[in-house]
Amino acid sequence: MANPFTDGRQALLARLQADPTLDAAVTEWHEWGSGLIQRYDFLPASCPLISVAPAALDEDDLSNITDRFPQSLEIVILTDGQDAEPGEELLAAALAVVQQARADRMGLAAEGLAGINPQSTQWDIYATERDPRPRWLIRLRVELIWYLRELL
Amino acid sequence: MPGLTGNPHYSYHRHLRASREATFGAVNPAPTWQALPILGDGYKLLATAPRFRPETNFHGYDGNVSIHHVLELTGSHTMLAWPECALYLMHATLDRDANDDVYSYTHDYYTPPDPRRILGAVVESLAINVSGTGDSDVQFVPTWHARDERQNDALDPDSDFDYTGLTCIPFMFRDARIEIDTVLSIDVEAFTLTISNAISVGPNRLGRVSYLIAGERTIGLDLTRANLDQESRQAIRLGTNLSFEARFNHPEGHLFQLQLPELGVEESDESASRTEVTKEAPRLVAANCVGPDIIWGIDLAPGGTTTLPPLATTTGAPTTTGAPTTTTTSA
Repeated sequence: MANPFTDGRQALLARLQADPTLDAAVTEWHEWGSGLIQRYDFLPASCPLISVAPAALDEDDLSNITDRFPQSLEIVILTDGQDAEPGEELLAAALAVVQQARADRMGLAAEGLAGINPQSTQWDIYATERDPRPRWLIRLRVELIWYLRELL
Repeated sequence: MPGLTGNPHYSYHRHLRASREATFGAVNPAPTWQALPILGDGYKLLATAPRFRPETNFHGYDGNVSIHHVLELTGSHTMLAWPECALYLMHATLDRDANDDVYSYTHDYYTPPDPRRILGAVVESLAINVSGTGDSDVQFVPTWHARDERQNDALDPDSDFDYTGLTCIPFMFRDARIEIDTVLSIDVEAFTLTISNAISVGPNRLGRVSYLIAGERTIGLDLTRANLDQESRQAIRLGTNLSFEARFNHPEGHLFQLQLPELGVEESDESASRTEVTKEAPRLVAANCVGPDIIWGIDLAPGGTTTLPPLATTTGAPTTTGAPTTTTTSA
């Protein structure tokens, strides 16, 4: 069944995948859809990796018939090696995509998408005992603001 | 407070619809209902029956005469700027009939314990509060003055209130500015625009007010947050021509514009004397010496691009009619 949260997530994923910089650089996309099982294992072979996953949802009572749902999506960018620059390049490209999506609301304004805001970005450097090199993990939170009527 | 069902009498249990009346105080025989969404507890139109106690000089210790005067029915209603509702309220506030009167409306207000019908409601004033550039920062607060209130148990919350035609995202504030002699611009970040219809109350007839007459319209502008500089203060002191424009946008492309081509300062007791520096943002009042006092437009077409002519053109070429310009395209 179609619902705005899936529509918004998939639209943002499609926008990211259509970006030429990201399309050329990324080895593996984690789409969190149906199909073959993808494990969330951060192997060097799948880097650079981008995952777009649902992260959080909030709810405000806006009026007697409309609620405001800020939906958070987590975009994870993973790059192999201690050099932080490739990750930052991918992040910059992803932010540009988010800004473009914010300008035209990905065509979902009629469904109630009122705004798209990048929220916070976190960098983590991480390595397990078996790894020869560390990897950079960038978490970008993007908030989609939905105004929905009588959803529940 | 939770009712019997355990649900609070809040949010989705309340509904409001309005319809323009053909004759004052009577439901339109062919009503066109417009559902108006309301904020949490935003509908405060309530009847009161004030009594007065005349001095008869003829009473002992045990009380005196108390007489019911007339049913008083006033109150406000808070609403976000949903595009269709904003258009409806702008028409309700600014439209005048052949006798220069405002139109009256019937309200149906549903709450589980007390569904009511309110007859003969006219807009006494409309305040447009703009407090910032985010969502839900534009609020319409119409204050209604009505004739009669009745119980309306026939109201069905499921079938009588139709919200299907309403866009679910309200208008958002884009920008506002003040022009001085069409040259310098002052950036306005937050303001309240109040349109007052100066409603006069007619005499008592069977315990209800017999008529409500709209008087001279006053449009006031309170600059809550404006980047006033020395030049703007000087212009305000010297009475230079000021004009105001506000624009609101919408992700679906709807547009809402407000223009006050001519603004003057209304002096109040608290305002500084002419020789002193004005410290706070003054209350500005719209005039209509050369053209209409207010020009407004709402475009409801999806991805609409109809805009009002720029402010400078408007002041330069005064319009002959005082009626508000409405750019309305139905979706």
